[in-house]
Amino acid sequence: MADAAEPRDVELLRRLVAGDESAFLSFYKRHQGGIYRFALHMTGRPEAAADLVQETFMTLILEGRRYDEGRGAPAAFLYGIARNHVRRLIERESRFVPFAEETRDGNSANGNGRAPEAEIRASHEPAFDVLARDEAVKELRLAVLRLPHRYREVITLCDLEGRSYAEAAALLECPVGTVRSRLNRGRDMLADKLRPAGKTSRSLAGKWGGRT
Amino acid sequence: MNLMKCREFEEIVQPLVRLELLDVNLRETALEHAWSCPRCAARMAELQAIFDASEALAASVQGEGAPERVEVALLAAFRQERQRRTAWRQTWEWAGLTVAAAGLIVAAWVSYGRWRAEISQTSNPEVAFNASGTASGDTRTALAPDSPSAAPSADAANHEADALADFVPVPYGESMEPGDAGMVVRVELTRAALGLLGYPVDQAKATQVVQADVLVGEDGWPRAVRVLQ
Repeated sequence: MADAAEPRDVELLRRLVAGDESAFLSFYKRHQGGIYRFALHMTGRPEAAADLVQETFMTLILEGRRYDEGRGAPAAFLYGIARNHVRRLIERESRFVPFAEETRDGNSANGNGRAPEAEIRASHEPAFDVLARDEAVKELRLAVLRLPHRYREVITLCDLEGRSYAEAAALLECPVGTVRSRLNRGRDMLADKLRPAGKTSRSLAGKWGGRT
Repeated sequence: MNLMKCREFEEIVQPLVRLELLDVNLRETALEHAWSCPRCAARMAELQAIFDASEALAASVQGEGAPERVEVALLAAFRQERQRRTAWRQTWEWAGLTVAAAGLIVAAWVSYGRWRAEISQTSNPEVAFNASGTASGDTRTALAPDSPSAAPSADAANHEADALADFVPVPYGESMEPGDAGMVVRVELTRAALGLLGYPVDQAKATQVVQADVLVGEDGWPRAVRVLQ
């Protein structure tokens, strides 16, 4: 959250578009982390996430003057750009995968047809593994990657980035009710994916050591 | 006695686990139901496990950001784009200034041409007067013997002769020799004054004012007159 003494996003974006380098740096430092983590959860690959941050801010540099203050906050504009790049990346990568692995609920592996486990192994990025603290986190990360795109977005923003429903709704440019329903559905899908095949809810809680 | 049903519990289990359930009574009722229903307790435990794992996953990337190389690359791109825009803006500014200057030059040229035309037709062109008493005129510069344009084209000379053909020599005045300089002065005078210059005058209109061009020699004396109305 920006400090009250710091310039507002709108002001920074206005100066950025006018060619103010310090405004660009301030805006970048304020938002790059959120965009990076969003992209990381959406793709599962740090390299892809870094590339997406670069593409997102590059688009902002070139198209920043298209921002319309009446249509939302600059952060929503920025996340809109990032979401478009994520979607394009997933579509681009899906062209090179001949056989999509279907999951139990009929959805393709992670929206691009590839199993996340194989994708992560193929990326050879040790940094990603470093991030995993335990088996539950790793399994959850893979399960999130197997969620359909629109559910993955709300799970990422609300459950992994700690955004409120209203904030997520603003960033995703949809009603709060839609965020709620997608969250409920997404969490249920996560539980389905994490539960061992043919097992009940008790299995997952026992495996991970649920508190209740 | 717990009155909550499993279906009702399922509707609130997610906010219950995430501590978003603000109604205390409803929360206690739900927890009582979970104690008495193993299936719902397992469901709650499952969601609690996912919630805990989500928090752990979020914490594992907390503070993560794009690597330094991204900022460096973006900063370079920002500077390049700023330069490109500056150059583009300067190009347009120069183009605008050039167009404006060209427009001013054209306007000035057209105005000058019109001014020259008016001067040659109605103003005070200095003319030469030929010895036969009919006027043929041009500016002094044009008719000066040493001038390169002293021999105007035949068409131009004819046109000027037509324009000045109505001049009537003033009686008793000195004649003008070819090449003599003079000037045409437009004046307003009464018809009675025209009579002094040798024009026949209707006495009934003697006080009426008319416009006339008077050809004046270098000595200031009139040589010929042309009545305009």
